[in-house]
Amino acid sequence: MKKTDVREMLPLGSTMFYILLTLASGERHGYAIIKEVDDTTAGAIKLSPATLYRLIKQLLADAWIDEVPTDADDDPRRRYYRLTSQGRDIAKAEARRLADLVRVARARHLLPSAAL
Amino acid sequence: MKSPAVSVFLYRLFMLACPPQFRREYREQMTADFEDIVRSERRHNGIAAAWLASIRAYADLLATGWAEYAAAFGSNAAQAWRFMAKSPGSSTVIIATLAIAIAANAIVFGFVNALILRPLPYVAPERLVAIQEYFTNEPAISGSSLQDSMDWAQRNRVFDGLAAYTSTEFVETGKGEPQRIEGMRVTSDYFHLAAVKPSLGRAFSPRDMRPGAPHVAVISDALWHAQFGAAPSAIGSVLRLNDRSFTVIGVAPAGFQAPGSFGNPAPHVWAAFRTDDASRGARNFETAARLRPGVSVGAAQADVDRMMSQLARQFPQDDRGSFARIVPLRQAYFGDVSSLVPLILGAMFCLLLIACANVANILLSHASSRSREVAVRLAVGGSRGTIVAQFLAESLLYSAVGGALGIALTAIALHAIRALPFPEGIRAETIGIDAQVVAFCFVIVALAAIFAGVLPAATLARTDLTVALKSAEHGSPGRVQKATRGALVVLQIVLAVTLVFASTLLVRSLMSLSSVDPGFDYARVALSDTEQMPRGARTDRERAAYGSAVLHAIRAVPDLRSAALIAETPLTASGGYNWGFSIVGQGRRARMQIASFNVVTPRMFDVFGLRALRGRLFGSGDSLSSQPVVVVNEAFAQTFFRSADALGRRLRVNGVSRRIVGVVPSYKIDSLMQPAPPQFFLPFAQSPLTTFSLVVRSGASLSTIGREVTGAWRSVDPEIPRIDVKSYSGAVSIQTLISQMEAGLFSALAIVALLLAATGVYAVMGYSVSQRSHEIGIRIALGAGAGTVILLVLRTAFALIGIGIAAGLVISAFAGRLLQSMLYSVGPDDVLTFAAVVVVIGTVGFVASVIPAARAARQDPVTALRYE
Repeated sequence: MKKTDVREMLPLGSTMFYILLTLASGERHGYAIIKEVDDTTAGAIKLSPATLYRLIKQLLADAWIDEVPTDADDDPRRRYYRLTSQGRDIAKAEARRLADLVRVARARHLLPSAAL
Repeated sequence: MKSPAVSVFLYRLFMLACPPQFRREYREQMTADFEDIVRSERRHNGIAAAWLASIRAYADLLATGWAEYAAAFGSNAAQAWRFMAKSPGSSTVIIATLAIAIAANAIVFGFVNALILRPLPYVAPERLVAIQEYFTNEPAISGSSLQDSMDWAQRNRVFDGLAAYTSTEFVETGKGEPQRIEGMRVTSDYFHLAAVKPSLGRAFSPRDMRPGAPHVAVISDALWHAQFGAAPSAIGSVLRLNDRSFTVIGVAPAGFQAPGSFGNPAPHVWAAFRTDDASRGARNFETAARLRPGVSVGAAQADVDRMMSQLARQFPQDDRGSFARIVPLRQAYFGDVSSLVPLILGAMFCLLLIACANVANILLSHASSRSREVAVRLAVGGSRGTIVAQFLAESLLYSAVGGALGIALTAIALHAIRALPFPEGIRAETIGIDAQVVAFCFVIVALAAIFAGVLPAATLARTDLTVALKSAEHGSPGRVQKATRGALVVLQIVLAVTLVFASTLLVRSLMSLSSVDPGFDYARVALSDTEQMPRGARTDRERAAYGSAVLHAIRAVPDLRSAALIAETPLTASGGYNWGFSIVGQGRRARMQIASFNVVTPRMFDVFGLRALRGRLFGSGDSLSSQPVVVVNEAFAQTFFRSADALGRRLRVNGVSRRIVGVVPSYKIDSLMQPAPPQFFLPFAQSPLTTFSLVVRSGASLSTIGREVTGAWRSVDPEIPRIDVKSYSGAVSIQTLISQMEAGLFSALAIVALLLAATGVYAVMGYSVSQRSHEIGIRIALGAGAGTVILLVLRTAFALIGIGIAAGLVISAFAGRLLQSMLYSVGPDDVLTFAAVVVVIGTVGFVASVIPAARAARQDPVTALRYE
């Protein structure tokens, strides 16, 4: 997919972006995603399974993520997902878009300058 | 750790809110995650937090399910829209077909709803009942007696308000030219029955009905504005009505719908009866009552039975042999007509089915070219459910667009219908689009979508993958589809046969009703409104003298030589009037009997072209001072004297013994559909009534007659209001109005049905020919002539049409039975009608299939073969 196409997908919904962020650090199953999103947002986003899988269904259909074959000794009910390269591109593009926004916000003194 | 069984069970239950495909895909994972969430919440935050998390998850399932379904429908609708735009021709046909069928249904519903189904416009109308009095030997309603009504009002234990009333026309004098005012004579409880209080002044009280009480009236809001400028001082002022002074005591509220005025022009004056106005034997009042809350019709009937047996013991002379029946007011008004409603709805439903069959057929013919698409979708794992959903979305879109057009058509049509010249009393102003009509349209649209979409969807969903993938390359339909479409054509023909049969029966019935011989000749006869005897004429002698003077003056005008006075005009709204009599000389067996009765001047028989069969007619020699006489009709002689000759026998009427001097032919009185009833006539000169009409046979125009009658009458009585006459045949034609409406309605439905069915046959044959063009091309190339090819195509068509007609006739035979009560002199098994239907449907079917057949025969074999 070309770059312009990636831009057209933005901005992402925040829930969807958190899912991509979670998967950016490796393959996860559903409950792991739910828990990690809960942790990173300090409980601000509590995903419920139906919402999660509705988004996963979309992400799979758009080929931003794919399913990882499971090991035989795993819980057979679990399925693991990981980012595709396209999904990673989109997550990166969204992160850049947000970083740009933050830079502008700093320049306008809406945020304390620098820190890190 | 033990899994939280209850909350998991509930979670699986709520999962049903999601589309099946989604459930199948993610059920196990979602359940596992849910269990983990609940377990972790419980461990860290306690049981309450666990339940809170569960509830959040349930709500999430519902929201997700809704979102999934909405998205699916959106994509289906978008796809349907693309399909519609891709084939504008068939889309137009489909939408037009649906619009016509939906509009036809909505128009008929709007009409029937406004005139029949809507609740009566009274306060708590469901508690209003009519009390109808009958005589055991007289099946027709005889009207109730004022005295009986008064006794019921006093003695009953079941009613909250009971009143007798009759519609009448008052003549108002004393303010310029005398005027006619529509009104009602009512008993004191009338406004209580209506549950309405006057907006000004008071309603009637029982005191107003006492013999000799001053005459009082309540006037309508409109009259109050017109005559009194809406001044409160109207109360207490005096109206001169029918030569009597009525004190205005009250004004009815604006928009008051008066019970009992149904089918009559809106009344503007209500006058209280006085008990000295009528005798117990005079049964010419309607009675209505309001059931107390919680009282059933059955309980009220029992109470009325009890009162009637009391009255029969108390007044054997008048009330023995009479009984009364309680009928909900609605049924009393619409009894005959409302039995029509299911038939009309059935006919509309047939039409809708025909239209849907058409649409289904067109969708199917597209479907066969799409069977490859369907097969591919099935092959890649699309569920049959989604394919059905896709087709339903398509047909729903079509019917929604068709429905919108249909509602617009309905609005236009109902507007036009409202402007038709309805007879007075039919409240046509309520016809129009309202919430009920729109709601009905929505139901019809949904039904249409289901009927038109399910069959193609089901057929396609059953597509056999391998066959479809192979044969779709040729675009030829599968066997199932072919059979389905054949069945649809047969269904259309069956329904069309039934509708055409029903409408033909009704038209034939109307034709025989219109040509029925009423037994008297009213061509060139003009009829006046009902006129009142002036109050100055108190005695029979004075009344007879007044009538004779008026008639003398009128007959002096050359145009009006053939004029007569008559109390009851047959086959008009006034219809018949029943009176009691007994046969003299039957000793103690002489009991009160009842028959139709009339009071006429001698020329009346002449005006209506009636000659004496035996004996003589009335003559100028019959007067108050001569022997009392009576003339009876043939039916009377046969009913009450059997074979014995009635001439010379005596009847006792109102205590006077009268000799039968003549027998005249019977004529129809109440309705063209009913046989002529027994009737007896009294000479006006011996028994003048206070109301009568003028009939005159004349070649002059109605306006001339009216002017000349008014002039002549005023030379005798200057107080008479202007007299308008109408043609007698016009008055009688209202008799056939209902039949005309029935026949018109069903004919319109049948014509639309026929057209739609013809389109269906045409479309299917056209399609079948296009599918067979290869085969036909080969045949032509091998030397088959045009005739052979046409025959080949027609053979298929006529197999379908033949089956349709045969099955349709069987169903028609049953449908005809349902129509029986609406038919006159035509049986539901009328052979001629059956034959006509076969010819009509056969012809239409032939024409619709011969066109594509001829096209097939003309085709160039080279083209057809090259296409291959």
